[in-house]
Amino acid sequence: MINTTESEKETKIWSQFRKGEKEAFAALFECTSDRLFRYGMKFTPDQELVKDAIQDVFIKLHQNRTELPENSNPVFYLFRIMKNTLIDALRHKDKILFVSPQELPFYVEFVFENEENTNDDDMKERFEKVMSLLSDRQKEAIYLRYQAEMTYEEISQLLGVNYQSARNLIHRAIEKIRLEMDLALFITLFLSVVK
Amino acid sequence: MNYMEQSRREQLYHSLLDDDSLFQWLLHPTDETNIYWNQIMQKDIEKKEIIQELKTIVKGIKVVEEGLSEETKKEVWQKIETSLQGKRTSFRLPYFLRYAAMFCLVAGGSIYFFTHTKQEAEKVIDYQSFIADTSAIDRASGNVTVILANQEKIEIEEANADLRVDANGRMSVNAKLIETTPDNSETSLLQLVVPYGKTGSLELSDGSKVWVNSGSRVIYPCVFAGNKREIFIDGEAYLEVARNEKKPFIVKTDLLEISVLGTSFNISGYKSDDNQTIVLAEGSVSIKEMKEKTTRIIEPNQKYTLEKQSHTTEVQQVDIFDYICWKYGFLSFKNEKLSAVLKKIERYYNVRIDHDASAIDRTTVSGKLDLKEDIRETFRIISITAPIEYEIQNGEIKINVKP
Repeated sequence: MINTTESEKETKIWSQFRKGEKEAFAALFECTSDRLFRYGMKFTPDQELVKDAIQDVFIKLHQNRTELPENSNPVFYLFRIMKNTLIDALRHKDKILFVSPQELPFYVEFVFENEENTNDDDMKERFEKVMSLLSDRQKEAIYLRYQAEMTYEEISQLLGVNYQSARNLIHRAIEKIRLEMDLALFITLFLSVVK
Repeated sequence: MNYMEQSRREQLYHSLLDDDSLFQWLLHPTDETNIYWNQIMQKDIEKKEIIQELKTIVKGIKVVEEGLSEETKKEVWQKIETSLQGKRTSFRLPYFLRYAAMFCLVAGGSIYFFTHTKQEAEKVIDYQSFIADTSAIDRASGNVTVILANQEKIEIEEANADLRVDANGRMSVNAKLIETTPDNSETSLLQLVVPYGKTGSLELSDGSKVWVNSGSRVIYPCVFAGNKREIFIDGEAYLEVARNEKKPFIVKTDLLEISVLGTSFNISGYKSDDNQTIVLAEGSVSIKEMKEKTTRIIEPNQKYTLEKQSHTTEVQQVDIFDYICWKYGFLSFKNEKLSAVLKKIERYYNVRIDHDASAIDRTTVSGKLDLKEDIRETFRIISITAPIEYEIQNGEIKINVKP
């Protein structure tokens, strides 16, 4: 989703890449590699493994460029290849036959930043506490929604669950956040101060 | 709150939480969406409360994470390139064939330059007076415009203009055929004018492609009737020339003449810049400087620079991506003067940037700049890397170098 023109630009680069324009491949790497790295680092602390996975993703992409689908959100498509590639790499590294996508860790540090700059340390603490209590898949869903700006449909595919489950993961996480942080109260207080 | 009331509110909460357009507005508000959502909040106090709450959450969630450093990015990219090139070596020509190919190339080259000098005696098109004749009619609109040989104008209102001329001289704009009578004579020229703030692309009748950057103009014939293919460029363009040994392709600027067979290169010759540059991606080109009549041939990954004042030329090794990434909405700089960077931004967004040139010239910029939809975002990013402060007022931008 992201900023409409941003994603339009990515879609355009993607279709130019599919048509075989040489420089579009470099452009695609330029505008997506950082996000792939950030996403990849959530599954393992091993930076080298993530770098290798990015390399694999782009080599695969280049080899299959003539068979790639038309795509409205290339970043989502790349995230999916990235996650699968990483699962394979982790399996290989730890010599595990099967890594269930459901049991993958999701190492992420969420913090709360208030736009109005009210320095409410207590609130930040409560936020961090509630976030640490979320399940790994809930964390991933929140990350994909609010950091990577994916749609529910895209999140469900990345998590390997159905649409309704992806939606529920986010609903419950947000519900926990608002209850724990007592946001309704905070906002009423804040608004009355402003008025 | 009774049970019914509570579950209704819950439902409203969920429907707003699921609303992609609300989410889009919270993270990337625009003037239009501001009006829309503010109206909704004014009308419905309950929605307003929920939206306020969601806003605090959605905008408040931040992730502490480390990105990919430019260095690591480069390292990964180089590994990708090496690995892809490794695959290609298996298709390499055997040694003796490679020499044969090189010989053909050299022989082909000399025949071509020989025939080309012979053509010099032919009539020369005076592009400067051609531009002067038509400039009165092309200044008016902010749209990409095609000026036909009979001075008729076709304006393209879409932000993206893709023009195509087929082998018979029929023209289409954004895949729609335009009803004109193709004029096959060499002297009837068309003009593609791309104003500041827009970009366009043009596929010529021989299959060659031209990507045209903001603030540029291309003059080209409907079909290439004679024994050469010639176009004129004022501004910046990236070209992928279709190979045709029998008809050399010639690109002219006001100061240079570039002869090619089939290759890809970027040419930048804005009137407001101090120099004209040509950067070669593939193949080879020969560049003739029209005043001193010096000719140089450049190879892939080389940049040819003509300094306009001194008429000196220089060829250096460069990373071509830096010069053609404008095609993909990036700008990329290595130790570039801030004033040159600002000029590019002015052209891309069609804005005027007010600055003290002498102070700005001491500052150089390196790195990649993703040209955002919103110029404010672009400047916010520049001001992080370069020691500048900026102010945006009434469509004019004022830049000060921080002391």
